[in-house]
Amino acid sequence: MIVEGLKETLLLARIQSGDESAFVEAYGHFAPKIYRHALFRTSSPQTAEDVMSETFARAWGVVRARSGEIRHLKAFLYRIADNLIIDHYRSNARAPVPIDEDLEATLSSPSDPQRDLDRTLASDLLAEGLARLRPETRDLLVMRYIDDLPIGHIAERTGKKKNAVYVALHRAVKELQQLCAGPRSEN
Amino acid sequence: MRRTTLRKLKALRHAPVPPEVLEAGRRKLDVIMAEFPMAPGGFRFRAILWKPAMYAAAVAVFVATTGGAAYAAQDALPGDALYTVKLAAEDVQERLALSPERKFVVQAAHAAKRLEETHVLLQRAGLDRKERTARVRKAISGYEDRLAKLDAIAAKMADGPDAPHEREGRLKAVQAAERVLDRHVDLVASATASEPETAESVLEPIEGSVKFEQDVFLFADRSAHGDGKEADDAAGASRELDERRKERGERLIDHVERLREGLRHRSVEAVHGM
Repeated sequence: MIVEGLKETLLLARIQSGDESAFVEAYGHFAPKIYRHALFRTSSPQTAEDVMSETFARAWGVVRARSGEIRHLKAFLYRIADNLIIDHYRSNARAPVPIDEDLEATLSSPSDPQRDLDRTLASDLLAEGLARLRPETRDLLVMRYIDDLPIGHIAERTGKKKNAVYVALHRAVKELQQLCAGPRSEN
Repeated sequence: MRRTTLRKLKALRHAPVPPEVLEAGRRKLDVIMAEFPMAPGGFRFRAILWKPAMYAAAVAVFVATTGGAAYAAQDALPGDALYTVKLAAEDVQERLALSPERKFVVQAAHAAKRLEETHVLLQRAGLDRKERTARVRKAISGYEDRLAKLDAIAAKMADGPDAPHEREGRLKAVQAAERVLDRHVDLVASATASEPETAESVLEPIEGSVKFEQDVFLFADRSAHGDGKEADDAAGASRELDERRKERGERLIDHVERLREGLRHRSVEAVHGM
């Protein structure tokens, strides 16, 4: 965690000093994280891809013009991604939440056994649970367990108190558990 | 069930991202960066100032979050917020010491630190007797723990092989042990003068100190058995050690007697309301 933070600070320092290659490095480091973040929040690989590339395009716009102060690179990128996801939610406010077959396909290209197992677990969860959750519940789970954000950051981003985040997370996990268990008990 | 769900959720952190998606994103970014390059102008000049400042900040963050805390905790005393950080840093040092000789020296250094903390606590103004006693007891209890560990290592070294190349390490270990025991005697002496009531707790580990001294002596004496000049040197060192041990013992007895006498005197004063 500390080393990660240090790397991020150095990367930001290089970007802000005009080192373009540092921004490309930042893409290599953060793009997969932003993609996952968007994928599990929107349940749509296409949207996730768009959010990822648009996040870096917008970030570059800010960096090159130095039109805003960036204090934390990760927070900065996630903020852009979050805004794009919110736009996506708004534009699809009445559209049904897809239980995405593409998503399973995305997660199931084979390589090594451990990864396959993870992918199976992932697709199972996503197909049966995550995608069916309400967006705000899903967002909480994604931020905490997939993006690995501290409770304090989640509280800040959601405008809730820490205790409320703990309680909401507890309920969200329970809800997800029930959703995942549901189809099995029917079989 | 909950744990399984959480484990599955966390496994998603490593969900693979299709490489073609990343490559497509990278190509788009390259196009944008080529079309809209970094703004020119005074930026580069500013960058020259920025870089060292940001690198310094990054190093400061690192030091503040890791070594910084340990460094700041160096002077912490029992009862201070950073004291546990200090002990944790010592624990890491002890684990990093591999040979018994090195372990011994590190433990001895930490035992000496506990005595130093006791000394500072005895001298520190602004502490009431109850708090001072509680803190001193904590430091002394740490000292006793170190003594027990030192004793165990000394026993291991005494039973271990007696190769000539190990003698130097053993000699260093004996010297380290001597410094600790000398410091303990000094502490008893200064406590006698400054804080007789609290100094009682300084006396408590004397029995352990004496036992430890005997073990170190035995182990140093064993190192004296060998052949040729090395054996003569070791025997000479052992004799010297024996003499110093007697001298230290006499000083210790003297200080302890004075301390006990002082305490008796104070009790009598208290009973007679003088």
